[in-house]
Amino acid sequence: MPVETETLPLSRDDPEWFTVLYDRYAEDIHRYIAGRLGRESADDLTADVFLVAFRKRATFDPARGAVKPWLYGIATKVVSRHRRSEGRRLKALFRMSAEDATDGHEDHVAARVAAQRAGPELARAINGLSQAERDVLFLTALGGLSYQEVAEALGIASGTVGSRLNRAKRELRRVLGGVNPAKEN
Amino acid sequence: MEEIEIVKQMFTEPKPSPSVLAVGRERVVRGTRGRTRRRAAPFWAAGVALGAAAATVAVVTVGSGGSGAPTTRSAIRLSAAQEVLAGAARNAERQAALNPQPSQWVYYRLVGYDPKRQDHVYKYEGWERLDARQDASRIEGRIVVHGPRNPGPEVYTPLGAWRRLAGLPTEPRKMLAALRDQPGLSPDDADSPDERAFANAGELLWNSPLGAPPKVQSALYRALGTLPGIRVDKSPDAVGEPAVGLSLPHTQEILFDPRTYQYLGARVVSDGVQKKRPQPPAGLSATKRKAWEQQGANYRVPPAGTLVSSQLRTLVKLVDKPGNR
Repeated sequence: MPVETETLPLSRDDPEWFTVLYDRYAEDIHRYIAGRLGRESADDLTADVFLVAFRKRATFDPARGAVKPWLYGIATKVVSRHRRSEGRRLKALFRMSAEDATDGHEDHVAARVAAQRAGPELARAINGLSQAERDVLFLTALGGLSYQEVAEALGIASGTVGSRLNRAKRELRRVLGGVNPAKEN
Repeated sequence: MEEIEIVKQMFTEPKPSPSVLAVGRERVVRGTRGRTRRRAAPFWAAGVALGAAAATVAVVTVGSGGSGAPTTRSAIRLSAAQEVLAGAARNAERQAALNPQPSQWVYYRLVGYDPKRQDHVYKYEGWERLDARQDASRIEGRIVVHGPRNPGPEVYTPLGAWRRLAGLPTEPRKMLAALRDQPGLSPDDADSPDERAFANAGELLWNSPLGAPPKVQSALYRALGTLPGIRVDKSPDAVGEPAVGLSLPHTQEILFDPRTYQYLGARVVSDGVQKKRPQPPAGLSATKRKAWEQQGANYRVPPAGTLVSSQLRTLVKLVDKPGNR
């Protein structure tokens, strides 16, 4: 795994480094938080993630991992402080009509149709997952992190990532089974 | 990974707007700077005169260059526009708080440029009642008061604009949202929400010779500082006063004194874009319609970069009656 800091010629203690990090990752972190808590919250909390990162910069060890999972780990902690609003958001999604469900890209039509049809069920299933399973699921789906990166972000073994993700997927498959046109059973 | 893809589809929100990201960036810059300066101070306090002035806001000496490694290490990169606006915010904070009343007057000196006048550059001094019902000027040594008259829309009166500004929220994102939505002001060229906020800010500042309560005025400048893409025009003003102008693509320039960062006025520079003429009103006779179309053909937009007009208030004072200065 490449250590991204090596490409940044700035010291970890340099505030400039955090504006560089912000410019590079703010949009990704915003997307992750917005997906879990909604856009309004993401507008406020994205900068918080970088400020927390700055305060905790001593805990970042470039030898142990990359910047990206470190930031996503902090973002996940920030999200967990707003667990209630995540719950509210998921409950609102239970009730959402199919047209509102998503605005995906053409190349994911099958996934979009499935998401639209299954939206409320899916939200209910995700709400039924444990916090730990939800973290793994959203870091993978919204952050696009690999097993290894999720493990770094959450400070757990990558085997644990695998088992949590598998359980999450199993739950989702259960509710998608009946409505997913791309799936036979 | 199909379940993952479906979750991604369902939960992905649209990208944040540039101004949201810029507000966050400003917070990160502010939040990270304070701490490190304290840590760094003993390090190089000897060589660099990091006095109280530099310690308040991040202007420091970015861009003026040549002051060696310590400055470039500690300074946050502010754009040239942010430097001007940070300076303007500090200047605004230092102004006295006013409590203007409708029956009071504002005395002002104005320098303007207008190519349609016989003398392109003109100077003027006068008084205006804060409710805009009367104004006054000095004619052959005597103070002549004009009015009373209908003051027109409130947001174009000195006190109306002052009050509109005074009511703005000071949190940057809320400030920008409020500036975007200003009833009664019509920046018709503004192309985007950011441009609308900037244009409305310029208009309110011009309409209010007394500015705004110091807290609001400095918050307004800081909020503008979070907008991406502000251009800085340092060319000397046609009226002969030094001025630095800030603008977004389809807005007027807001002018500041380059030394004190005091607000000065507004400048219009042509963008060279021929505006689309509105459709002729319905029901015109054939002759009138033809006249309408020809009028359009005669209308020429000056080439891009041409100065269209410039107005600077070089002195403004709250007084109790006309004649006072």
